[in-house]
Amino acid sequence: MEETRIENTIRKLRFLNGEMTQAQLAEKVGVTRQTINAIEAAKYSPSLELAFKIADTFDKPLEVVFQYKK
Amino acid sequence: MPRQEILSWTSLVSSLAILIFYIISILDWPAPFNNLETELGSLVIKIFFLTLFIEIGLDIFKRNNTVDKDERDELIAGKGFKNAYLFFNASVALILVQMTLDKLFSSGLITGFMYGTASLFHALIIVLFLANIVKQSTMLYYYQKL
Repeated sequence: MEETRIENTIRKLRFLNGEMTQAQLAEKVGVTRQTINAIEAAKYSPSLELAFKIADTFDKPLEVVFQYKK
Repeated sequence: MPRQEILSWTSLVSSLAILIFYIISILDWPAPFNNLETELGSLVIKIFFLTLFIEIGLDIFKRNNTVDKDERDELIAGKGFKNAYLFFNASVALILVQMTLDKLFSSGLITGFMYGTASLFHALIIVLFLANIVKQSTMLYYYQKL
C-alpha cells in the first residue's frame, strides 16, 4: 500500500493540548492507539468520520488537522 | 501488541497445528516412524491448546480495554478475506480441473493426485485450513505495514 499524501498535525496538536498521549486521543475518538500511531505516521488515511472526530477533539477545523499535499 | 494482532497470531498458529495434525493423521507412516508420528501429534495438540489458552486469557484480561476493533482492523481483515477467498477459489478450480483431467484420461495416461471422494474431501479440508493461513498471514503483514 502506498504511503498517503494526506499529512497531519496531530502530533503537534497533542503536545499543544497538554501533551495528550496517543492512548488518550485514541480513547476519546474510539479507536486503538495503534490506529492513531498509523495516522500520525501518515501510513493510514482515516475515514471522514474519524477525521472529523479527531479535529473535534482538538476543537480545530478539519483542514488544520489534515492537509492534502498535491 | 493490539488484541486483534495477537488473535491473528494465535489463529495462524492453531490453523497450522490443526493442519499438521490432520496431515499426520491421514498419512500412512512407515512402521519405524510410528513413534515419531505419536510425538509430533502430541506436540501439535499441545500447541493448539496453548493458543486456545492465550485466546481465552485475552478475553478475560483484555476485556476492559477501551477499543477492541476499529476501522483499521476492519480494513486489514477485509484484505485478509480477499486473499483467502482468491486462494480458496483458485485451489477449488485447480482441484476441479484435476478431477476432469483424471476422468478424461482415466485410461491411465495421466495419473492425478485425486483418487475418489475421500481424497477430494481431504484436499478440501486442507485447502480450507490453508485459506485461513493465507488470511491470517495477510493480516499480520498489513499489521506490520500499516
